[in-house]
Amino acid sequence: MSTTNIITRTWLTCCFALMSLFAIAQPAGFSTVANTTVLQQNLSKATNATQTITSDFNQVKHMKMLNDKVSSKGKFYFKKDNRIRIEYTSPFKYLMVMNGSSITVKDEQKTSKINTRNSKAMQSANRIMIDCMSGSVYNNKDFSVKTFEGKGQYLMQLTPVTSSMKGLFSRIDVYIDKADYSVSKLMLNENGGDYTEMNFVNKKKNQPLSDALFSIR
Amino acid sequence: MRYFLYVSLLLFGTGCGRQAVRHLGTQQPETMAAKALQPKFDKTLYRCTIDGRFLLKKFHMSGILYLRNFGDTATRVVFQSEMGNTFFDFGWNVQDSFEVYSIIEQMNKPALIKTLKKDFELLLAKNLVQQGAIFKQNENSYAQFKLAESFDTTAFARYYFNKENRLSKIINGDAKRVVVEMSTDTAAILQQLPQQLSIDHKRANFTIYMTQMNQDAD
Repeated sequence: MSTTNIITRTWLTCCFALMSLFAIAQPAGFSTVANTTVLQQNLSKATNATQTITSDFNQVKHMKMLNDKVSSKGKFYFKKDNRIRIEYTSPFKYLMVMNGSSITVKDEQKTSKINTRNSKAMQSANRIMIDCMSGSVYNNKDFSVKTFEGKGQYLMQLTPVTSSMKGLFSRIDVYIDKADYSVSKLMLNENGGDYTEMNFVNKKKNQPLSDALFSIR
Repeated sequence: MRYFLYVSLLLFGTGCGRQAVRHLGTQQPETMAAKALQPKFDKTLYRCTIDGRFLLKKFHMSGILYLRNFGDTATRVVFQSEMGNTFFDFGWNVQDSFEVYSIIEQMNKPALIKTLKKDFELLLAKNLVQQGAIFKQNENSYAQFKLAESFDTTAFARYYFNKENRLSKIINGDAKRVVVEMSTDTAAILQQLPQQLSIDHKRANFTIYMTQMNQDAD
């Protein structure tokens, strides 16, 4: 092989390597949104018009090292401004209700109240869930946000900046439907490589939801 | 005379609090291999709740316990929240060597890891001295093993069987007391994981309740 050919091959290999590096930085099927002003305006408009969200969800926990997964499903409810109810129905029963700064959980045996005021990590976890549903993710100081646009969705990659959140997640991915600016999927990525995917389906907006749904007796 | 009575009562009471774990049956000539106790499974999920008391405060938590066996090569135990966050990920290799793959900061305490390690090793019959003595009492029996990694030479694991030769209870103790008692509502067939299990830590003051559940959502 001549010297010229070797140099050309090396140069082309370097170019492709650099291009593929660039491609990896963006998720497959998505391109970077440099200016999120329009997206933020549309999100704000959509969330202002949303009082409640009701949906089913399917959850899959992917255990990367074990090449296995655990799946569950349930019902999800959101009511403005800061009330969330996550009800697991199968294969186990579990209920989590967030109402302001308080979180109440109920398993098969007991109901427990958690006051997030005593824990920064709990406060942040509570806050990010509410921000995802109410479209105020960009205002959350616990995360830096990168935004990408795909065919029918936006993707917001939230990387924790506080030590309490870094201990829980390496990144949270929020997928927003372009059609109605609602959350269609959440991916909670753990530091070891495992991740949990929550897909929201059968979404309905502005169904009347009783306040009693957001308290556990 | 009165003083003698009081002292006797005091000594009696103290003696009752720390009763030695006695052999209640007669030893049999045959022994049992630890391997005969090891459950054979591919993957099992348990719904878990934990109740305990630390100082004066009660605590309660719940989660999903995932146990996976990779043939004879490795075993993994992962405990995670209902929302998927991993609390801890433990593993054992073919030589029963233990490794912590991951654990949340709040649970990363040597005493807690040691306690949980021992719980799972009792359940999975790992790190037991290879042959255990068998004792029979009426129609029931138990096999007693020394713990391979314990510095306390009196420490043991005792596996109780009912008349159908099904595993009904496991206890871990030493010369002075029962440390952990594992019991099940329905005795488990040998080499199968129990459907339900309650693990009572007498010294550490917490109890784990485990019930097998379906692998996936309906």
